[in-house]
Amino acid sequence: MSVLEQCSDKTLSPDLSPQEFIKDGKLTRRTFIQGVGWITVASALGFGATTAQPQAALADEAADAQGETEYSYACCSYNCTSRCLLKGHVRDGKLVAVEPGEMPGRPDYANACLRSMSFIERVQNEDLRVMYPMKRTGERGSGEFERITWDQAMDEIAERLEESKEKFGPTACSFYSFTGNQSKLAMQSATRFAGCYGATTWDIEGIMGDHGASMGMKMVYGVIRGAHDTRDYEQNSNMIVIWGRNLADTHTSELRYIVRARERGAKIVYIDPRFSSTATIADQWIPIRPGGDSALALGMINWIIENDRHDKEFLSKHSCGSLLIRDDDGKYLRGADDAYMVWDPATETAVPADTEGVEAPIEGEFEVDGVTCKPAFVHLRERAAEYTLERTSELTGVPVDVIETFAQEYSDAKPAGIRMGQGMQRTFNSYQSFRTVATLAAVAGYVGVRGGGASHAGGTKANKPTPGETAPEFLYEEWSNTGENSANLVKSSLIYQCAVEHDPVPCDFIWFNVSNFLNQSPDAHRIIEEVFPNISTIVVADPWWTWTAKYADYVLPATSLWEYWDLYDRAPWVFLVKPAIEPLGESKSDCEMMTMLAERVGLGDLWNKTPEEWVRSWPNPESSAFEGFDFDEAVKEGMWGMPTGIYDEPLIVFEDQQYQTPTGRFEFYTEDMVEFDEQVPTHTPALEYSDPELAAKYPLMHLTYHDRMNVHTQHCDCPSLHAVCTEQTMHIHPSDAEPRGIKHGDIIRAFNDRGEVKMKAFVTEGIMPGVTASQAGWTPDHSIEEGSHQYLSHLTLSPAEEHYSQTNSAFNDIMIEIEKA
Amino acid sequence: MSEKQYGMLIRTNRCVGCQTCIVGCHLLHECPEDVYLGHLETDGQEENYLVTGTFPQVSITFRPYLCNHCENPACVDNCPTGAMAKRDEDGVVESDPDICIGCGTCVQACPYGAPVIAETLGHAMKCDFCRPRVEAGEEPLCVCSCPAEARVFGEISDENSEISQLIASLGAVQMAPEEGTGPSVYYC
Repeated sequence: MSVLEQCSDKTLSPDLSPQEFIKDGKLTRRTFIQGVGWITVASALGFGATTAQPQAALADEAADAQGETEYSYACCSYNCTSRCLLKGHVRDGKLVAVEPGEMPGRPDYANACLRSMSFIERVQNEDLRVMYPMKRTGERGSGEFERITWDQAMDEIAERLEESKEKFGPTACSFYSFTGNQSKLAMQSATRFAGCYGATTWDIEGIMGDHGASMGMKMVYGVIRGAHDTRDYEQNSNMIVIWGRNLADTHTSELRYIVRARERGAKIVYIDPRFSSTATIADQWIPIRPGGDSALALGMINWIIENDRHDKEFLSKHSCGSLLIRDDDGKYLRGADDAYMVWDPATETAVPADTEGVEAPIEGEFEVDGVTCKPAFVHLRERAAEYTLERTSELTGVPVDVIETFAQEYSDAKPAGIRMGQGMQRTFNSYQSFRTVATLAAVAGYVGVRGGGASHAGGTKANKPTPGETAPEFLYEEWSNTGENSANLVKSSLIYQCAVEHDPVPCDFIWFNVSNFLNQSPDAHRIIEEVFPNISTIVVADPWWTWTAKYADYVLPATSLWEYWDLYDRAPWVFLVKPAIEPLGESKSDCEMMTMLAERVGLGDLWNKTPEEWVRSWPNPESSAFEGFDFDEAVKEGMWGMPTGIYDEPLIVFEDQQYQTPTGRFEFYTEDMVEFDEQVPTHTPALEYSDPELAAKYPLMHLTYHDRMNVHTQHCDCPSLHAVCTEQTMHIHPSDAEPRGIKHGDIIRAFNDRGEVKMKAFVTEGIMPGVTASQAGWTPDHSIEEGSHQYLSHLTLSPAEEHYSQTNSAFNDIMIEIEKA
Repeated sequence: MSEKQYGMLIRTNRCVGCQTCIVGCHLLHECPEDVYLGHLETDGQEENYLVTGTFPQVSITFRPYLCNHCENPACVDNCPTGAMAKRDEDGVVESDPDICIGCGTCVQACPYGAPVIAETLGHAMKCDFCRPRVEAGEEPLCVCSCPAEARVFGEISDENSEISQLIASLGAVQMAPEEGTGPSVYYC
């Protein structure tokens, strides 16, 4: 056996196994594609060697394989939210292919995208996986690590955890779980440990850039998610507006219903600065300037009201429109028992909003106990009146006639459904877009009606309640018990200042799991140069050598979704996942790691189950949702369809016109925002675009979008995706490229005051002039000179968002300049 | 023509160019790296994903290609070893890797360039309409995994089949029928 073979033979005893180190910052993507990879393996005895090209090895094994194909299932628990059941083809202990798994009750719903299929290559690529516990030997970011045992790793990490606690208190220790895997044990184990330890955990939606949607939803609907089942659009909508959501790439499970709707005759309108994959199946593409979405919706609201097409009955009965607002302080007028009040024209008095038989007006001005009051709708109408067609056109870049026709067709469609997407909320004051577009649907009378709504995320109906039953579906009590302590939840928007200024808590120890934090958070230079140096201990638990892992002090090998026991509760289904293949190397599940750490800090009695035991303990046999359930049979199929589930009937969200807002109504008037003069939907311009000095220096608005290649960063290095794309590109309109001497395929340099990145120009008529776009999810390992689009982005705290909840990263509110490299 | 002929209909107005079909097929057939049994083209463009037209009046039509399982397959006629054969039972054109010498004549002969030579394996590879799956009562993977349900598979030799009726009602056409090989894949 040659030295090289010895070094890459995983059957070697641990003592002779190779030591790994990462050669960071030396190899370009070009070198990488040639199959060398950026991890080199040198033997502990001092021999240098490079591992064999992984794909060739896999192909050889496939060709020689003789074994029977068996099937095993997994839950695709990445954050695209489709949650597909993956049917894995396993032969000789290896995953060889993936196909859509059929979900009980919904044979129409089986889905597996190209990412979930190709992902098995990344799962089984030993050169990309973290195979063993590793300890940093060089400078942070140098990529130099040595292999250590699990015992040494956990002993040392526990010691450093206790040191940080001793020095700054338990909240200076934090556990950061992102959305890299949303199955229960994978995503919740570290958070549960934080609870047991009294440590800090992070409210992650802000920094990741999804929180604007939640804030906007919460303001108007009272809940952060709410969606019509796409089958409702398929059956009932005459127009479907897909607004800032490239669902054809990013949420493929609902695409089929949209194309069927179109063939039935529904008009599909797609709103995005970029002609995305979703635009290819739309009847109309409305390109819009990034951040202009709330202005477009306000312009349409104004047009609808001016043309007397607004749904007065809905606005009076089910929205806050008839509730009286005090002129003196902008608050809702409150009566006895804090009741919200409306004007009763019959008695000419203010009466509680729930008074029977009152036809409460949405217009007018009334005196109540010496205070002038107006119905909330007046405030909306007056604010919307500022958005004439001409002004809306200036703010959005959408021509006047397009806005007017769209407003008319939308209000004529009866019903029209809007699918909102996070693309439109990655701007400063991000809550405006969702809140305003949802208010447009309300004004048109489409909220809570079949084929209507303004939805966020894909909706499937859950379970029918069983009369008289009190048994919960799942027995989570023990898992929820964190003993004497609980977790200290901190806004993720404050994580940089926690590290640097210890405000509101210090961040001295951090454990990242299911998270490529550095790649998915804004302003990477700031993280590398200011944030990380102020954190004493960084632990990364991950299946792969992510960019974040390179900055860790300890890197722990985590199992992927094909190698562990886990559960995902997604009524009317529950995914039950068992390992399809042996964990690679010495990888362990997140739950196993937290159990090992717990044992070392005196919390072992709260972590007394194996992952399999936890999963088995959760389904409640007393619940009718699990009538006839046999765990071992269900896990063979990867999921259980609850007999109480509703499968055939599409969900119409808010059909009951019940809202969990303070007023109990659809609430476009948000009392909490009065001090910002944003009590009703308002367009706030993009932060960097509206700074004339900045816009002069960096004239292009840049956005990053999610495309067919990535959910987030988990799908880089899947060779089968080479058919689709091999590198990140910068989409730019010819009118922006030509004056800069840039031709299609040229390497360009994109830059601003924060940093730069180089990539190939993709010159296209399919993007708005003045706007550039590159794909999210790519990492420096795959970029020219190890650049990153995150060197261009920024974290700027929004006072209004920090007041209401927390700042949402404005990844699509960035100005840049581009030149030929 | 074979007794029975399987065929496929691809509705390009549904295709979003994601290539789930091509990637899934590559994995299922355990192709070597960078060997694919189908490919995507963008109508009117040299390179995929480029739009046609001028902003904002643009459009894009994707066209996924695979073996046409022709009525008179040129690959079979020209194969020097007899590895390439058309099955009478279902009209599927298959290459036997144990006989194939990887000479590439089939690739040259096919008007659509459909077969590929897997250099590392030393033989040709091609679409088999997922025959093992079809025989087990399942759909070809490219059909059942298409998120837009752009593909329909079935017996084009049966004029009452769903696919035959759709081909007729949608006015679907073969690619380059003038080549005279009688393709079994239709596009609309």
